[in-house]
Amino acid sequence: MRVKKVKLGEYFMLTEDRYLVDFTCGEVYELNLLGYEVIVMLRDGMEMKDIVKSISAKYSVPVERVEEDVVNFLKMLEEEGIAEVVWNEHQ
Amino acid sequence: MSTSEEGIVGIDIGSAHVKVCHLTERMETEIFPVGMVASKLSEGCSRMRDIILPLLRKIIERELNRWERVHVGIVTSIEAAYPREPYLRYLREFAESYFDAKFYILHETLRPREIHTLEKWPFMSSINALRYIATRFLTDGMLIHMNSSSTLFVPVKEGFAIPLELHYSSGVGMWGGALHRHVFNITGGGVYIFGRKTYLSPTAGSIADILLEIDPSRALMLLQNHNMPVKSEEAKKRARNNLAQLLGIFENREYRNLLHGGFFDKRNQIKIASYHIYGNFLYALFENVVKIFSEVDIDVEKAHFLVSGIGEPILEESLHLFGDKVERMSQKLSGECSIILESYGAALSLQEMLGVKDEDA
Repeated sequence: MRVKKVKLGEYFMLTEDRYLVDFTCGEVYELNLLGYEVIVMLRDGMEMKDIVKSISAKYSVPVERVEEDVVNFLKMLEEEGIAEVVWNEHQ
Repeated sequence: MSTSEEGIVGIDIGSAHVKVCHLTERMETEIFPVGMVASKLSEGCSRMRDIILPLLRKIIERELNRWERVHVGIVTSIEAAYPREPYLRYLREFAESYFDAKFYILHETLRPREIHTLEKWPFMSSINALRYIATRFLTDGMLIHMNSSSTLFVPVKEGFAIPLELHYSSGVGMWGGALHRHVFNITGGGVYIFGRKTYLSPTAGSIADILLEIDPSRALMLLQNHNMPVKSEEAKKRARNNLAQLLGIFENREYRNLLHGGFFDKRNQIKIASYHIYGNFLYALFENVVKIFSEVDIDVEKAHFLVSGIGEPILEESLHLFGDKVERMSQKLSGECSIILESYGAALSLQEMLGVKDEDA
């Protein structure tokens, strides 16, 4: 796993119609289905490896491909200041 | 007194921002731009139920991670902007969902009351928080607090802060804020464009646009003070487009100046009109102060003025005729506290009431 740990910010809200609200700066992000599912699982405290496995099984997509997509998504969350990501330096 | 295991938080729910004041050893403040969120979510959502209550839940949950028990003083003026929502029911249900958090609202008697004891929702309780602060600092005079969308006027006569119901505050003064208010209504008989007085478009142009045109560094600071980071060049360009629309100046058209046979400088025209509009805005604020002084009959020679909020420098400019009788609240309290004065008042009144309760016991 390239990701060690992910911590979502305190002041975020996820709406049922897949918007992610950042209350600290008033930004609203429209999520695609995969992004929404990743955020829900992160919010519920799931480990990254379990998130990747779960999505891989649900959509019958190889784990490596899911991990690649999730990593790209996490990089975006990190850039926007939505999440703090601790990357695994040895991979 | 409240124990070290108890936290006190004041929250001011505005239509554009939710402002939070944590009364700890070192005071902490937070500002959440909920108006921006509302403008980006679907139109059908309820500002209170779908945006503000989920935010309050986040704030309270964080407090409960720090303290065993939390006292939350709430004040608001949101019912003035969105009168149809059942605020009392929402807040009662919200309060009932917590065992370790107690919720109060600052009543017109300037005493916090627990939300579950209320029979009706108090209108504009944020003014009560300012009244509470005003009586601390003034005997005769006025506290004027400018938020992003509105300005609150609190006259004080012989140590009594007069409630809004008892004095008249003009719409132009009251609904003029430092950022978001449209300028159409404050321009009265129009503005000079190409040397002629012309009426404005009712669809564009806010105070923020005017400030971005005539004093961009102040405007950008105001926006950033409210957690609304903007890219300066983009913001200035957008403001100029809005002002051109407001003034009816078309980008792709040239306007001939018959006086010297050339063409008008459109950018210069936008700047001149912006100064004119800003001057009118300052006068509208000044006129509102005079109106209230006259109505309440406050002794103008004895009076002192306190200005606060993100529009503190704007208010100071509008009252320049009163000279050194005008003081900035940020010189008496910390700068951040002056900006979130309503939530500070809510927290302070609660802290004092809880202290008095313990002493009574």
